[in-house]
Amino acid sequence: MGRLTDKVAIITGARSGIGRGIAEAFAAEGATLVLTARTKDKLETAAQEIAKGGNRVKAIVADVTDEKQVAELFRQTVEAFGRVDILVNNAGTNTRYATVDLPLSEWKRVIETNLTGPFICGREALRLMSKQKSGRIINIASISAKRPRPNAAAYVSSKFGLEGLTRSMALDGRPDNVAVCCIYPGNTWSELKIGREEQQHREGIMEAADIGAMAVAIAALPDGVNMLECEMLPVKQPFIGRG
Amino acid sequence: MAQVQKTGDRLAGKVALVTGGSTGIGRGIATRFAGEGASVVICARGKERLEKAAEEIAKATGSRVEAMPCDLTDEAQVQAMFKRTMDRFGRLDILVNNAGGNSNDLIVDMPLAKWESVLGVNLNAVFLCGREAMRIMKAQKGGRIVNIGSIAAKVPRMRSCAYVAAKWGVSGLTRAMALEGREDGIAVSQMNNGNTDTGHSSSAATEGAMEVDDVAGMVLAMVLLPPGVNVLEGTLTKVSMPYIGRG
Ligand SMILES: NC(=O)c1ccc[n+]([C@@H]2O[C@H](COP(=O)([O-])OP(=O)(O)OC[C@H]3O[C@@H](n4cnc5c(N)ncnc54)[C@H](OP(=O)(O)O)[C@@H]3O)[C@@H](O)[C@H]2O)c1
Ligand SMILES: NC(=O)c1ccc[n+]([C@@H]2O[C@H](COP(=O)([O-])OP(=O)(O)OC[C@H]3O[C@@H](n4cnc5c(N)ncnc54)[C@H](OP(=O)(O)O)[C@@H]3O)[C@@H](O)[C@H]2O)c1
Repeated sequence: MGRLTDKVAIITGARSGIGRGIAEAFAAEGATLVLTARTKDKLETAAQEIAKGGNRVKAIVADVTDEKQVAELFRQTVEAFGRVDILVNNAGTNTRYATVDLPLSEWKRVIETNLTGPFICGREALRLMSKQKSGRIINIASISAKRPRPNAAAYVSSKFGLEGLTRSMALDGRPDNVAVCCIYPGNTWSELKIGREEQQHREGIMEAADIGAMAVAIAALPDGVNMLECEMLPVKQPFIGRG
Repeated sequence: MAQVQKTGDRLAGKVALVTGGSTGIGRGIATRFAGEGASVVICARGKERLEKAAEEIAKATGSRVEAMPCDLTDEAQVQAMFKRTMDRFGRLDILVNNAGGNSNDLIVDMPLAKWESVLGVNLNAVFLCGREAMRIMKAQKGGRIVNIGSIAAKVPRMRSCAYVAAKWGVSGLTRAMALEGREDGIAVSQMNNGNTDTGHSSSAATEGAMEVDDVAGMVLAMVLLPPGVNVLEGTLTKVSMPYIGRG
């Protein structure tokens, strides 16, 4: 019996990268999974591959920035599996501009995906979990929520905001025993491979499975116990010192 | 406390030292490590309780568990303990700086001697043990150090000035050790736990508390990560813990 048997988890942005790593790690512990992303064919391929492990896995296409699509995602999940025990707000995006050159449209796209998306999904989850009197929301922020990299104002602001959202949801979910937490990963292999080899050499890089392992340890905590923060990064990644 | 015994062999061949391993959270962590096949050294001042714990953990897990009585505020005793560990086991893969203790005084009433004794075990001991471990781990080109902080490292409570200052200091020391250990592949992390039921905490009764094994299980998950990957900081509390909001 797995450590997550009988748990129903929704993972956003699950067709690639960290989301997929978490999905695979949850699947290995017996969880029932609802995977979501916008790209239908890639999402369905990922779901089929993960379902080979014998888990119940459902792919539901949704854009996390769209209120109606998210409501539908939760409705279909409850219809299929009766409840939601875990939401992983992982879907995210980035953009690279010096602040002076950052177009408003790019700012809005990043803030909507990385911050408004987790709010919309988190609100649906909190509504359900408050009634259940149990549940867990795991937000995937970034160490950028603690200290910026250059040319990443939108991303950094969205991730700092996600930390605030985590704390607020944790506070508002507390009376109903809902645990809300944040994982702050450093460099991790993902779909975007450009520049990663060099990054690996210079700073070190984690596997999505490493984030998956900690996400499992968190998801498997007893009801009522919360890992509010989990900052994790390659040992060699420049972050701890001044720069 | 849930009865954890032999769970696997994911730490087979590894040597771990857990300070304050005779009771409470330290004993829980030592049990989890031994349950995964690690050889474990535990230390504390009280010899009798320490030896009994070592015996019981060894019996429950089938792993080698050695008791080394030590006052961690004494440099010579700390150095002797690390030397003895190296003599016995030849290496050190994991150090958990867990030993700690609080006092219950308002700042205005706090005698200097008490202040110094709280800083001694909660902060100086982390430096003394960390320094010895880093010397060994630098030569080994790798290792893992987990410092048990507290949410008191983030938000104070009343009647805990020395403890809060010490734990705040541990946050600084964790970062300093992580920075200086980085080039040699030494991963240094901090677990900030909230109320944990060790059977003798007054706040646990009013605010609720986690089980010792909730903390120990998470520390195990942290040390099981691949060598190049580190949880720099984790915060683990009861959902109900008054900590997130203002007070
Ligand atoms: N990789 C790293 O080094 C790193 C470090 C720290 C934090 N993170 C964070 O980890 C999370 C995952 O990143 P990753 O690196 O694994 O990225 P990735 O491989 O690019 O995956 C992003 C996922 O999010 C989905 N997605 C994007 N926008 C979406 C939307 N509007 N609605 C629904 N799904 C959407 C994508 O699928 P579709 O495009 O099909 O929608 C994809 O599945 C992000 O929050 C990121 O900020 C990553
Ligand atoms: N329990 C909680 O709610 C809680 C919450 C947050 C953080 N923490 C932290 O977790 C750690 C463990 O706490 P705990 O509650 O498990 O403590 P505990 O039950 O009081 O155990 C403390 C351990 O440390 C040893 N110790 C104390 N002073 C020592 C010294 N000078 N030299 C060597 N060993 C010494 C004790 O043995 P001897 O007395 O025999 O030396 C004992 O083994 C501490 O760092 C504490 O600050 C605990």
